[in-house]
Amino acid sequence: MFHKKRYLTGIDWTINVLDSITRKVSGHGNSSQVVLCLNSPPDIERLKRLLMDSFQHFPLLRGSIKRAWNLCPYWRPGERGSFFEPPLTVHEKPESDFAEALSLLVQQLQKPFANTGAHLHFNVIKYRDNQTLLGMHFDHRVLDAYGAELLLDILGRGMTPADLTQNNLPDLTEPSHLNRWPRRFIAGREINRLQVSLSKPAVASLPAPPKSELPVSTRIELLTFPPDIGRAIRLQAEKESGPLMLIPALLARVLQPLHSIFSQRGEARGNYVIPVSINQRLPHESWRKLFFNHLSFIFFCLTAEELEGDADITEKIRQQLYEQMKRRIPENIYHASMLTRIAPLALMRRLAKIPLGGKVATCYFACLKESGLGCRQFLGSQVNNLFHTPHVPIPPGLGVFLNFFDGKLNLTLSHAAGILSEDEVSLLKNELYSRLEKMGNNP
Amino acid sequence: MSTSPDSQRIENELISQAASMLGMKEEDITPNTELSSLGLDSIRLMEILIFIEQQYGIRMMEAGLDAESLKTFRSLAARVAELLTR
Repeated sequence: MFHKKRYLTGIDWTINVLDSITRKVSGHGNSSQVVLCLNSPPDIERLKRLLMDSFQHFPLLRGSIKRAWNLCPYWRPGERGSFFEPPLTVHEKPESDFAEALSLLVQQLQKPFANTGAHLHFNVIKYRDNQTLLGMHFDHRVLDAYGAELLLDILGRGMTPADLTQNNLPDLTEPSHLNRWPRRFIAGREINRLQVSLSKPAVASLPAPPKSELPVSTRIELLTFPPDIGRAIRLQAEKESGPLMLIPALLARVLQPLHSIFSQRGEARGNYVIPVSINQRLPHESWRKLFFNHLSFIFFCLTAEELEGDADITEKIRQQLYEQMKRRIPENIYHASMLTRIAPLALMRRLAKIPLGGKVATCYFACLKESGLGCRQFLGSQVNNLFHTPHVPIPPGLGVFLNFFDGKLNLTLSHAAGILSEDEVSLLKNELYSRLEKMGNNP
Repeated sequence: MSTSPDSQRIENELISQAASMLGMKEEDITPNTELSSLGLDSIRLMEILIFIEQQYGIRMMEAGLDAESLKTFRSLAARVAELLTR
């Protein structure tokens, strides 16, 4: 029943292009990992059975990309019913502490997904005092970050996506969208104008590691703030950015330490361009949009002079958010990206380097205000925390990702090895921590 | 001189806009529904503020956003009506 082809949207195709670029540049694909901190190991045998059921019902989890006769790319589900080992590895590390267990999880992240194999892999690490980290490494071509949390939520409740009610079953087909060309061309013109405005002056970015050093591993630094500080940071962010808004104040706190790194290197010039991914699902359609990518982007741009001076960075970001929403940038990105689908991947890899002088961005940023994981028991184990450890495509090879979970605030700094020196990593971590902590202590 | 739309009409228009934006039925949103309970984030809130600018010519971002005004559709409509009478 779920064997139909699924035509890719322009956003899915963009994610696929990023996957292709990432494989060429860093040796691994465009993937990420959701990590659950559990108070004990979950029921492994049950998890294996649930995974087998999920793969059986949703062969798209082992699919690959093909082209239709009209050149429209589509996702072809894998063969159903063939013998298949559940993609799960258990690591027994009773002597390890949290940092060592996390480091082991990050190492698992470096393994690229085969194009025709499973696009998910679970790693369960049992470390000191029976505590457990459960990492779900996933291919961004089949799940985005929020979708990955939703899938974990289903599995954690002992269900598979097939157990959802009829009204909530995931949409597994999508039309080819070979229509509305005037709308898409107008959107393309708008996005082109945006790119031109972002590229002058040049985009500030840190040099990529030399190609001779492939594969480039991803390094992860994690900062976690306890619930009392996390909630206070959230309140303060809303106070500064406006009710229900967190991104402006939090991004401002991230940009200032980043600027310190550029200043130290004498590279603090041009535009700091920060793409921020935004979840495009409506609240009631989360389950239906479980698989594939349902996101778009907003681009924030600040000059080194603005970050150097006394400018109100939060206010500038807030105004840019408003203006870009008014120009319908996220919607235009969706439509404009449809135009790129007929281009071959090799051409897309080249085209992707043309805008913004090939630099793409200074740093990626995302902030998940609400978690897609609703359950607090994962197959019998208590969930104490949840965070993400994503690969960041090179360029820029640098990203800062925030998420709130039960009041806790997690900040993940993801950087390609060689982008930052050890001293710069320490400086960035310390600065980010102290600025956010200060925000949380603001009466 | 045009008279400003009353608060109740603004309230209905805001509810109607939010319902269509969120893919909900209008009857599922009441004037006392809290905006935060609808799962609104920065992006969706911006869409409401842009609607207010386009419909009533008020840039709420400049007029000032406070938690009390953005609590329910009733309080938001009252704030818009107040700004229109200035």
